Amino acid sequence: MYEIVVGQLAATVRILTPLALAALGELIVERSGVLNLSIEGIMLFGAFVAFITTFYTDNPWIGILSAMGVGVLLALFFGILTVLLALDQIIVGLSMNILAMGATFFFYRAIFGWYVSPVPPHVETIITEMPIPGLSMIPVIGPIFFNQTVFTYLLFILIPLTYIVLYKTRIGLHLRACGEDPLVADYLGINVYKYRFIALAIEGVLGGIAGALLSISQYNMFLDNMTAGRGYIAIALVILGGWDPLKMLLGTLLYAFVEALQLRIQAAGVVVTAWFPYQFALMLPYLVALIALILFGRRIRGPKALAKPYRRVR
Amino acid sequence: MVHLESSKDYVVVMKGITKVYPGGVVANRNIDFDLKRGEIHALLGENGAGKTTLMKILAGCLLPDKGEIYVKGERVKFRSPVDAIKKGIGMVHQHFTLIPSFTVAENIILGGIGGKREGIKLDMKAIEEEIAEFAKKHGLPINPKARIEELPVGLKQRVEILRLLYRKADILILDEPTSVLTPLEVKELFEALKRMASEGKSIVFVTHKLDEALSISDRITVLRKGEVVARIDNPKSISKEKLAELVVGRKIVYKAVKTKTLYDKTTPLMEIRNLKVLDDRGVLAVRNLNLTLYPGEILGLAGVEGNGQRELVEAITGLRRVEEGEIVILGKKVTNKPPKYIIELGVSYIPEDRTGRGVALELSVAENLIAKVHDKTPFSRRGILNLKSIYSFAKEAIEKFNIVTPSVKTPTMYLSGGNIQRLILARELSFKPKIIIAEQPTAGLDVAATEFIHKLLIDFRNSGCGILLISADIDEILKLSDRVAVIYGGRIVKVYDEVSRIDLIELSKYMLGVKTE
Repeated sequence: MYEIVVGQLAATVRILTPLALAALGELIVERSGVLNLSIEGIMLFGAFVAFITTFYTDNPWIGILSAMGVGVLLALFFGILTVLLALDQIIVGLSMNILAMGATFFFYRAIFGWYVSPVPPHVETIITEMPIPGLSMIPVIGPIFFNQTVFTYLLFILIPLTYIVLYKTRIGLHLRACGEDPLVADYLGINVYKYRFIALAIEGVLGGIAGALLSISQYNMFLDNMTAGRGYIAIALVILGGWDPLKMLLGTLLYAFVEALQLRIQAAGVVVTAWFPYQFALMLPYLVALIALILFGRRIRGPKALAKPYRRVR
Repeated sequence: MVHLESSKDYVVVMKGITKVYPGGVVANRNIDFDLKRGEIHALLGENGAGKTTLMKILAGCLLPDKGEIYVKGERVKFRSPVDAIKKGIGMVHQHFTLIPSFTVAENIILGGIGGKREGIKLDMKAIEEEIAEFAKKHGLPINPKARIEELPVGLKQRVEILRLLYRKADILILDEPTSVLTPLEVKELFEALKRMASEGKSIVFVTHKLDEALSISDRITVLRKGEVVARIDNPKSISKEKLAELVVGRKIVYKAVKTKTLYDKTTPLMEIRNLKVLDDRGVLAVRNLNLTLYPGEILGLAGVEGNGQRELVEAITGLRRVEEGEIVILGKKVTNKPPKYIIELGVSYIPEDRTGRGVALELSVAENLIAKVHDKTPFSRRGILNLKSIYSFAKEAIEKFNIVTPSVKTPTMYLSGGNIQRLILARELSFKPKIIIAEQPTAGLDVAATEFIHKLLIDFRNSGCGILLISADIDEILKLSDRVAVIYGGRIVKVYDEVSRIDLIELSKYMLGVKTE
């Protein structure tokens, strides 16, 4: 029993890590008034590029770095279209996601051949757990929190750090001002463009890592559309958390718990009957996110200027 | 004019300012304007005369196409409002530049200009103390911890002024600052402005109200259609009539002829009983409101913006859910009935948000004109529109209501604000309304359009219509109304049956909630 519970909770934290990293990036961007749907595509590209570079270099750290790079490039491209040229954020975001799906599908086959072999190509070395000496030996807490990849530790530093920057510094105040009313921010001498681009670059880094963790840490391969809507889930988690990093983490925890449970149900082959097919389990986390949104979503107030293009008129 | 720009007495000299908007509208044509140290200078003109454009250029919000600006003897070229504030020039815009969800202190320090503290870390406690102190010193006390969205308009304006002072502005531009204030608040604002001027600050007071320009300013510059038509160095030497002529460009011939009191209290048109309505945030905005409208009267609803007026109007017109209480129109209960039902009872609505709620901007003039009757003969039969009768009706309406438009098929977005309002009036008043809900019907319009609308409303009142007039402009309420109801905190706190006997200070106190019955 002890092992099942600890295993489930450790899996929850492992699944939570990429999702929370992506959601944190999205939260920062949305606080600046930009709704970046292309986080889904950034993750997918991150997963793909990390896999390819790791496949050829056998070094997952190069994989992570290249995923970060491609994430930043995509986020900045999104920024050029939506922040600089003030195009519709929803349309650009959706288009980029469709492009990401098609492009990764295409390049994967261009590299590994046009048929999908029975055994898909995989990488030998992946990002593995880095137990923290001492701490990882503590019963219960140790295996759950201190026997994870370095990115989990990074996440648990970034969440409170983001909270502090958002609410306790001038930078955070100015970033939030851009998200509430970019015209006012601009009038008062806050460089709206700068804040939005920096936020996007941060999201690119975090989204790239999040995608890479899927392909070269949790699995050792790349699968078509392997993000499977996790980017959208990240956006839902930002909304659910009321654009607050701490509350967002709670929501992510709930979601990751359900997903970990779902994986376990699948693996254990429990009651996979006609009325409870494994596809139902696959649907569960999305269903939970939707129900949570219906229950709490109406009371949440987001950044006022979210998703509204800002054009400077002088 | 001899080299004003190098004179020590003139803090601002603008020469030959021209601004053409992308659409081709010339907002400013070769304007000269100057401001002396320590004076209050009124920039007077109708809506659309180019006052705001000129001042936005001075405050760095807009770039001029032509012209030179000198500040304190130095030639300047502002690329942003920050450039202007660094030279001491700040502006209080008509639409406040505050962030509603932030506190007073956060709004004041936003942008990081002015004040003692620098650096990344925000020590809000110290900042709040500093700002409370600063506000008190300037005779404009405020609670720095309050959220802007919770403050009444008068205090929001105070925050704007405080922020300019905090940013060390000594040239203050106020754009129509009295339009949202009660008479009592206007008096206080004038005192504050005079005090600031006596301390050496220079103030541009932008207004379209003659009385205000005459009572507060040391000098007046009059703008009309983007040009300076007069400079008055001694406001005491000019009569109000002469000034009005300068502003409008012709003699005002029109006078509304209001027949004697004709409403009778035996047959109410609309009765509102114990009404409760929530606002967007789910907070009670209308609490136990009672109000009765009689035929043949204009009932003015006076109140500071944000006291439930919007929610009340939306409840009457069927656009917002009523939580409790009832609305009875012509003997029929209309509480929570769909808007169409209420429209068909003869309720017309002239909304404040003309372009958002009043018209569909992409649709043509003709389509907007029949928007409420498109499913009735002769405009359509069995779901098919009858374009011939639509266009002939539209042409008639355009003539009758003086709508200036290239054709009936022109998309409404190409019309000016005044013409959009005429279009809305044409639609709302063409089908024999029994009740008219008029929300800020003349806000932002020039004198000619305002007169036209006032005359229409009075004509309808004379013919037995009941009109509920919601206006932030006290002068308009007093001019048109037969009775005045004061709304505060979602309740009617006072009803005046005789408009001529209203004491303005007492009215202000009711509006501000200082006094209740």
